[in-house]
Amino acid sequence: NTESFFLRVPKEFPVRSIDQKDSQFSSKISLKHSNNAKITYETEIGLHRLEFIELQHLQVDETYQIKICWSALDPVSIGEMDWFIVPHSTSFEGTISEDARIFIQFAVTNNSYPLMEAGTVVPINVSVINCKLGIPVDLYEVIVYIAIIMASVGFVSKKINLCGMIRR
Amino acid sequence: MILGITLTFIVSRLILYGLIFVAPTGQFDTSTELTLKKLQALGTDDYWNVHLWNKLLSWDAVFFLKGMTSKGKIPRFEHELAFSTLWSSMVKYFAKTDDVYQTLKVAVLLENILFYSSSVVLYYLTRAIFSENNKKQYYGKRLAKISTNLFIFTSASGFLTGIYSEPLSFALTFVGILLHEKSTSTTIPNGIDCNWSRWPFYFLSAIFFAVATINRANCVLLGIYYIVDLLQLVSHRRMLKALFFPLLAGTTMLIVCLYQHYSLPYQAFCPQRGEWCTTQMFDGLPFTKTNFYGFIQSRYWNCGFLRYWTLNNIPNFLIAMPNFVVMFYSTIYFTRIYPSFRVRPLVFVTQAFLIMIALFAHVQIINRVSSFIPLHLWYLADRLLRNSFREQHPVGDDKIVKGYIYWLAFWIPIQTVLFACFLPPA
Repeated sequence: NTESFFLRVPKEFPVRSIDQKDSQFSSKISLKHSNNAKITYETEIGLHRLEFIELQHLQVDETYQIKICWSALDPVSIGEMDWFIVPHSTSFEGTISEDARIFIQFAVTNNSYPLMEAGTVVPINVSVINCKLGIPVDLYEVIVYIAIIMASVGFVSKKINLCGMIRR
Repeated sequence: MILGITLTFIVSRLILYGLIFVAPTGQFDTSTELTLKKLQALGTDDYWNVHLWNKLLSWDAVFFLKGMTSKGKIPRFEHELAFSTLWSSMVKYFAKTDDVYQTLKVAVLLENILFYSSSVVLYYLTRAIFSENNKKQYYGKRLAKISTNLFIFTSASGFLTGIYSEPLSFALTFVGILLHEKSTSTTIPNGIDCNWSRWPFYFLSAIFFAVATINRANCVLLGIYYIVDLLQLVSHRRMLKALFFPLLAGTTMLIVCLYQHYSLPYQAFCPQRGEWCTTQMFDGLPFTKTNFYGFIQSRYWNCGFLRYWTLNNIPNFLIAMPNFVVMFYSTIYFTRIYPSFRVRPLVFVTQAFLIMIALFAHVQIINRVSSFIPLHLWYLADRLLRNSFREQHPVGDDKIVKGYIYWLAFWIPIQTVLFACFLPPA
């Protein structure tokens, strides 16, 4: 199962130098030297709280797709998805940083009968993917593959009379 | 002829599995690795698992795989009852192992065997229906061959590379229709008669339809066969036959459906479940206002009357359009243009199916779930056989048929790749 949303880093977002020390926040995804990254985040059922993940090394004025995937074997719903900026030197969830920080949030809720037992750990894949030309870069491979297939089918169907072939 | 069907089937399967193998390994929905970890699969990063087997675990396949590898008979969560426990049990029976990949391989093998067997049954079914007299035998054979070829290249092909429950349903459906055909005969001008000597065939058709319905709920529409027969026999005052043929067969099918969609879930979840259980209509009886399948479809997948009719679903309606058009035309074709009494029940089944899909379901699933109805295949095949079709610029129906076949040529590989990459539409 997948839920996703997009975020665009504002132009005026203060650029963080690449060698600065990492924030103390425990859950983070870094795009250092990469245009997409994924972590497996483990959440516990029954706590009804928002989950926060810090995104690091994003580029200003760039759009990113935030993709949250979980196995259909875990009957949960993902909601309250959003992103926000925590200004520099501002405390958040008991952590503080000299730099402005970008966080995403989402909530995991039980969606089944019977309910999953409280405390059940549900692993969730959270991915951050840079978008170019409005398309997440991890989809380019698939798009090219489909384009090749379509071109091949188009070429073959020009050369071969498909209806005639089925009729024969 | 069987050799031809076999070759076509093998070639088509090789092409599709080849496309899956070459498809990028990075899936859009990255949850397959989580599923495999949860099921404690071994060797998830092995070459063949990465390039082929893992790619077959998209969408509903996850639920089927869970059912096939779990120890219990009844699923743990209620929504999992939407995914055939019959099909899962069948694979479990043949696989006889706890190993996830071994089970997956057995499931894929069974899927293909059932798909292939259905193609063969469809060939004989088509001949049985369209070769009633010797004059038409050649026509019947040709029609059967073309219909079977079209069936092998069904719009559900991509999903049928995996472990979906559809092949079991269309195998059971085709055998059921064939048995029904063998036990009835048409009478002049427009009637049907049931032969006492073939009563077992007739009754057996109900068993096949009932099992198909247990496997996939939409097959409940096959009960229309018995309603049509019943009305026919009653109108011709053949009361005894009406009682022992359609009424008995239809009632049997109905009882199985009631058990599957009311009694079984009621016993499993009520009264502690609340919600669905509280809609009980009669005290002491497990009959609720909506059946359990309808309830879970509505509760977990937002299915229901016109719920899918929103602007953002326009692309899904467009994806469903080719099958809608062809299936709709096929009903017109066999009622108004070339009326055929033998396929009349199937015309009603198709019409009811189209209404159900258009108004209550996620419309794009028509490309997958319509595969148990062969009416549109016969329509396409019949048009392809006509002389008018050979003309350079087809018009009318022929234009639709040509357009549909070219759409299939593009759709099947695209659907297969989208499925392998865990991309919509589901």
